Amino acid sequence: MADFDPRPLERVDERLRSMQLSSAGRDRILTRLRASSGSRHRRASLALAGVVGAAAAFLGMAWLHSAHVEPGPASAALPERWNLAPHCASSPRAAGATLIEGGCTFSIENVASDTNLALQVWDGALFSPSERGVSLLEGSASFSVDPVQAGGPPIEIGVPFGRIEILGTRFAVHARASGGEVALYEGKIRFSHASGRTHDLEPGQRLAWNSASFRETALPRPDADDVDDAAPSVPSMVSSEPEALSKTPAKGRRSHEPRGPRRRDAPGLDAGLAEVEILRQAGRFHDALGRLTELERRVSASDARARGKTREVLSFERGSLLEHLDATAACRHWSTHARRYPNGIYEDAIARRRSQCTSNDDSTETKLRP
Amino acid sequence: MISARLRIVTTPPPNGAVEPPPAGTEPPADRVEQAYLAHYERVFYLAMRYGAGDRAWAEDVAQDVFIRLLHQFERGREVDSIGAWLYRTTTNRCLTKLKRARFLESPAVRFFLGTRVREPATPEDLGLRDEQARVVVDVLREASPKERACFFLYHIDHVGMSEIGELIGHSKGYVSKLVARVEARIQARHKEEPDRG
Repeated sequence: MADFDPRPLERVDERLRSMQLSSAGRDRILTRLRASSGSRHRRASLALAGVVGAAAAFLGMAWLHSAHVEPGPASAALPERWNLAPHCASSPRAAGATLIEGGCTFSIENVASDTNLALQVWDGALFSPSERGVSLLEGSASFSVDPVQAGGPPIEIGVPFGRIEILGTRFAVHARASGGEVALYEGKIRFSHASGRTHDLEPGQRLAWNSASFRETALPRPDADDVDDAAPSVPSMVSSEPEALSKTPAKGRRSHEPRGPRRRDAPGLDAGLAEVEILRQAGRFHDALGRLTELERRVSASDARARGKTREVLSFERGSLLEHLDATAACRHWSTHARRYPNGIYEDAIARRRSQCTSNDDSTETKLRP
Repeated sequence: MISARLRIVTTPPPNGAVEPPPAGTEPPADRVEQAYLAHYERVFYLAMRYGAGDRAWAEDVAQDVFIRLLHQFERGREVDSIGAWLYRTTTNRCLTKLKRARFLESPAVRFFLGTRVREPATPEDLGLRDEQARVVVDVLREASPKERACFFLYHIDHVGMSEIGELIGHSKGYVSKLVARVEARIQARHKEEPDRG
């Protein structure tokens, strides 16, 4: 044993030490940890709850049969195994659907074969439970899924006119009544259209669909500067604001059409915004903000007549990125945004955010004075 | 999400001074989150070591370990040294998981369950060009979970044979035998392929 030279082993160990957990993996575990909080107590009280529940169910059965049941609090309406972060707000909607408010993360446990599904909602989205996953009825959300066990059934995300089968991956979906789009960042997914046709997506690809067909395009490369005019005219994930979910749709606007900057406003804008979204998904908020600043400069240099709405979209993006970096600066930005774009296209979303700023800010030092 | 962040930024410190709450009075979820952010890299690295470079496997282990810590706090059990607890629990969890994997990967079980064998990372996967290190990886891929654990604990963490024995539930002599067995295999492999050594 004295002859053994441990130095090669030390080199192997050094290599293993350098292979660190990715930021996505780190966040994935953190999300699951938060979702697991209190689960033990829940199990411990399950037996007691079972006994009490059986008695209550027996006594209440007749009453429930005839009485009109008022809708309960938002959390009571959540489907089984859905774990919302404590600060999240949700409300029940027709046909078993649930509206999850923006800025919310939640997870669904044991979707299929002990696999968990983590979701992030940006600006409010409408979901409904399904047998092998969840259906995104309207709005935008990003999904992160554990690797599915070999031989196990795939998790499915239902969308209007189709479904997405997933096997451990990270992707974002925007769904609207007339169709939607999905952008894949990691792993592999299969899109099945209502027409029966299927399409496998590789990382870096984006697929847009409507009731009749679907089209696949590549996500813009980080160094892409120009917009591919041949690409399908799908809005970037960043700029999609689920209007149908807003409480008061803006006047004179079609409620199901996501609004985005116009392509003529600045060359490469869609690509730039998609890149900002990719950076945001990767947790590189500073980089995303830097890229956004470049886009703002480019828009400022473009045709002044066309850039008003585009600047508003970019300003909204800046605010949502600042929320990740500096909450005080974000609140200040939302105030400026509201002043600069009164009755703007993001009016509802801005009002929601500003109300969160003021309601959570009891300190006189940082209190917003709009 | 925004409300949680705002609360952190804008809550004024009591009496102008920032005083950490007394140990053990914070909610279990907050304590585990703090422990996770402070120690996840170390736990992941330990799991990578026992999982021979399998990232997904190591991520699963890291998650299991911190969920156990959460349950520990939720039961009201205090942990004297979180670092030491995580080290011990990660090692035990890796050993248990590897033993279970060995059973599940046995031909009979695979035949009935229709599962595939999890292939440990190759030297190429780890990006190793050093021939001696490649031999070490090859031997460790074939070593049993206990052999792998004892070998790393003894040579890298410099844990004594007796302590390793306590950790994995065996005698000092048995641990010594496991370590010597792996060393002998590595040396034999070098002799078989002298040009590599």
